[in-house]
Amino acid sequence: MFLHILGRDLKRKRTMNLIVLVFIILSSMFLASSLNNVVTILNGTDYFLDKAGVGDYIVATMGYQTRGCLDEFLDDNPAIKSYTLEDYYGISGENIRVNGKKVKTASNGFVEVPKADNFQFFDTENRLITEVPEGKAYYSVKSLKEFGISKGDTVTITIGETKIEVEIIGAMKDGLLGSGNMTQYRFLVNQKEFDEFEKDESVRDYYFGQVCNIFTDDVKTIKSEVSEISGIGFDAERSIIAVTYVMNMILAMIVLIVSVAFILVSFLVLKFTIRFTIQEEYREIGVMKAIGMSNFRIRSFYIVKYLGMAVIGAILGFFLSIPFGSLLLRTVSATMVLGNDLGILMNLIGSVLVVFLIVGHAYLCTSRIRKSTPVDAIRQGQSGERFGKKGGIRLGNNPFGTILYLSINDITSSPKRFFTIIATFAICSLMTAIIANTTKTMVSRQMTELMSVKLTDLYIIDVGAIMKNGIYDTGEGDIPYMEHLREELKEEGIEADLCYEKIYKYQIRYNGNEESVAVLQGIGTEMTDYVYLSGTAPQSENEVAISLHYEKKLDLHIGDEFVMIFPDREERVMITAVFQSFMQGGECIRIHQDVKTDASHFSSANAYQVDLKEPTPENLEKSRDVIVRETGIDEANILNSRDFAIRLMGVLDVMKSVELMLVVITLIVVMLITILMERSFISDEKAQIAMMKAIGFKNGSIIGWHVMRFGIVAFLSVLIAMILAIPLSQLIIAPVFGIMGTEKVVIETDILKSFAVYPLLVFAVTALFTWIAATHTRTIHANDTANIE
Amino acid sequence: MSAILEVKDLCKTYIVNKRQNNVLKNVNFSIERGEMVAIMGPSGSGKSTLLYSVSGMDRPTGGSVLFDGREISKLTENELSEVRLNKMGFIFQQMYMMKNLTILDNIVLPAIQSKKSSEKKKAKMERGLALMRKLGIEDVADNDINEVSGGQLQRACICRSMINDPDIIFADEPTGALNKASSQEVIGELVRLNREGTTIMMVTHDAKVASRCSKVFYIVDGNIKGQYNLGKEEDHEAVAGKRERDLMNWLMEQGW
Repeated sequence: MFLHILGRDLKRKRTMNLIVLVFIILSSMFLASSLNNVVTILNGTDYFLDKAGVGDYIVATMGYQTRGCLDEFLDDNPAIKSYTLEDYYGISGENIRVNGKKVKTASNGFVEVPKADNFQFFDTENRLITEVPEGKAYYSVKSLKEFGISKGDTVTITIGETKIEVEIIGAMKDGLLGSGNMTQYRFLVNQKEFDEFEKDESVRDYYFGQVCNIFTDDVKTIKSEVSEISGIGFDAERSIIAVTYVMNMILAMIVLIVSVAFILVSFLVLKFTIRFTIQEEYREIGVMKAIGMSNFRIRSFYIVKYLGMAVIGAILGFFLSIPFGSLLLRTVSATMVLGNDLGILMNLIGSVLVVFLIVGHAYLCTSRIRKSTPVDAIRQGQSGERFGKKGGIRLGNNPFGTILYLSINDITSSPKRFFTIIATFAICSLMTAIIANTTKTMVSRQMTELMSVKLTDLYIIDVGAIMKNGIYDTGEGDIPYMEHLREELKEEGIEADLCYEKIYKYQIRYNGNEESVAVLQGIGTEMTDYVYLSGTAPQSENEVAISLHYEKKLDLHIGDEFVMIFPDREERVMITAVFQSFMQGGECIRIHQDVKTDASHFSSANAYQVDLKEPTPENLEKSRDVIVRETGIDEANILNSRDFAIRLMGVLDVMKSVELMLVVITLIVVMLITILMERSFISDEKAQIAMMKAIGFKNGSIIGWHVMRFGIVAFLSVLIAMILAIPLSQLIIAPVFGIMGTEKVVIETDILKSFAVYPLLVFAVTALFTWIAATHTRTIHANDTANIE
Repeated sequence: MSAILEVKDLCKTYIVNKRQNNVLKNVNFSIERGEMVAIMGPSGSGKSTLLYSVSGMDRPTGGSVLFDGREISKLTENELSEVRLNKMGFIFQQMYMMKNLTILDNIVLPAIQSKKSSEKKKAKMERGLALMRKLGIEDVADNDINEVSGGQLQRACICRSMINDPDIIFADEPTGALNKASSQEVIGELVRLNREGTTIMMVTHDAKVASRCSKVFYIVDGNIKGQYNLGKEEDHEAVAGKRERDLMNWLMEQGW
């Protein structure tokens, strides 16, 4: 009998049960995919670096003459557990032609052969690339757009007199160089093509290099020993490599925030669904009580019903959560292999959780069965006793039309029910605003400041000159380069200052410890040209500023002193200021411009900078022409401060895709929830709708009432979202930037998107889909008053 | 007197599980202005279908329904809504009301929605209250619909059906869900309304209720089998028993 009643119930209330089931599927899908994504993102970089075989310390040498320079260090070093060494050829844009055409890039790259026991590379489907066929090549996925390379293109790499021609067979994910922050790219080729370069001594001498991938438990010792080896072009511990993915992780964190928001939405939707449907069943509960069924029996009826629906919904949601989760992560994982060792277990946990939540909620909601009398239940849980008059605006004296009054009255009469809907839509609206504000922040002037450079009008990314002047000319070439440009600009009637930012690696000694640190030094700048969080700009050679991240990590604060170890001397310096920076993962110090440095410790630089006295559009245009003429670089490598920051971060395009994708997904969620909730309301209000039609309300008025009601709800939701957008963006997104040592970032507000475009979209989607769903009321007729229970 | 409702060859067919079910079969009758007509018949005979078809709440399959000389089966949905709003009143057995509105708001809802007169909202509210006063439910004006008794609720439904001063009120078993006392109160109000000039057509199972009408149609298997003219009830107390007995006898003859 019990099962018979259950079967009849499921059949008779088919629409509502179907809506509940769809809600459960959605909740299960959101919760399962979000839980998995949370774990994936929190483990993101480590998981990828492990998969890519990135060791604990990476050292790269440049030039054939440096071959063997690591031998002594690597042989029998007790601090090294294992290591691998692989050869590469360094190239720049000048060496490459795609389909016979020159490429526009300021970055340099590597040509290598994949080795089974070294770094691991993956194709875009996350399959391991074990070998490259002869005449073919893989290319770094992050730079596809920059180079305009696509599958099937022919790439010619010419170094000196040697030329190889390869066909691109796909894009490749690369642990070491894969992040947007790493400007280098990589070609994976077959050993045969690689050997062509090996045969040419002139090529070998200048372009050959080695990358050593070291596994160790004692990074500190390795770091210290490496700093004493000459000929090192690049060295970094794994944590620094991981930090280069911070921008990808910032994007992933945005997905994580959206995932958490979807978890909240799932809870709210479930709460709404269970309360809503059980409330509708109180009449039947009353009947069952009246005919003598025990509370336990009645409760178990509903719990079994919801358990059945929860299990079906959770299973379907579980299967849908796998592609949905991948969809959420797809854009941010374009350059990374994301995943977690738990696999789909987290999805499973999420779906099982949904079952528990539904059954638990159903159990709590039906607890009123015990307390209520049959009559109370028949009256839908209300005692019917009220001695005061209903307050507020009345139909007769309302200043609005009937439809608007009915809509407002419904919301004020069932505040709990509508609060759930408002909260759901507000979360969705907030997400869109937070995403827009993150993008806005990432393209703001603030980001240029966080790149630890002086704000100037133009940034010249002349990689060839940077390498030549910084390394081969023992660091002496920068000033003549800048002086030449300054003179050329002056000849064209443009007064300008030029400056340059160099990064060195030096050892420091502090509180009995030694540490190799990134040291920033400006050429042609003053210490007051930079932004500091606290303290005063260093004024002499024995004063330094320290990054916020380092201040915490090394426990060195303003007023503290430490020793800088230069090859020819040691200098005791005092910290006078703290700054925040994205450079080197936020771990760096800034030294005075007059401190004597040396090319052997030069690590990297990003751009020569031009600061015009009169930055008019004409002068800027003319300056670009002069720079192109004098340096021979492509104009695309002469950037303003905003584009410079964007180039360095390397994720803006991805961020825009992430923003678009998340906004679209959010709007789809809003659409689904709107349709399902509206259909729930129609199902609940069928009798009222039929009665309204019977007494002369037109279809248009009834649809208008429903659209107006959801319109008000959507309006309130976006209003709440707009009020909370600024403080919550700061509260949620600033810590994400803080991962990189820039927790004092002021999140900027994209006024147009946060306060106009996205709220309007949420509002419009809600209104449009309420209208579409509300047209179902046309199927309810006046004569249904005879049939509805 | 002129006919307010003329029904000719009215047919209504439903298709259930691919089977044609002819619920109304060429029904013909007319109702004069000011009449109070009861439709009686066994369960499933088509009483409610007839009521809904002639009131424009349902579309007949065939035949014609002239309401006040206008063919309502040809009207559009919106035109039908206008007719129902301004010229007809409805009382349902189930006492449907908007659950988020108070009793008074429910009563005046059709008036507020109607553009029939230029009357102010305040005046409409006062008229609603006056109707409630007339039916003795003024006290519950500000109550929610689940805070009143069934009798009070049905009287509220009567008030709502009267609020736009309709030409005719259709009632589908208006006392079906009420106890004896409440039934008497409700039917008393309908008779009073009829005396004031409102035409009433109701479906009922209750011979006592039907005996207060001026005319009774007996419907069997989708056809009007017979018509019994009781005439206007002048003095209820004096003639109630006789009218009911006469009607019962007639109903017995019809196979009741």
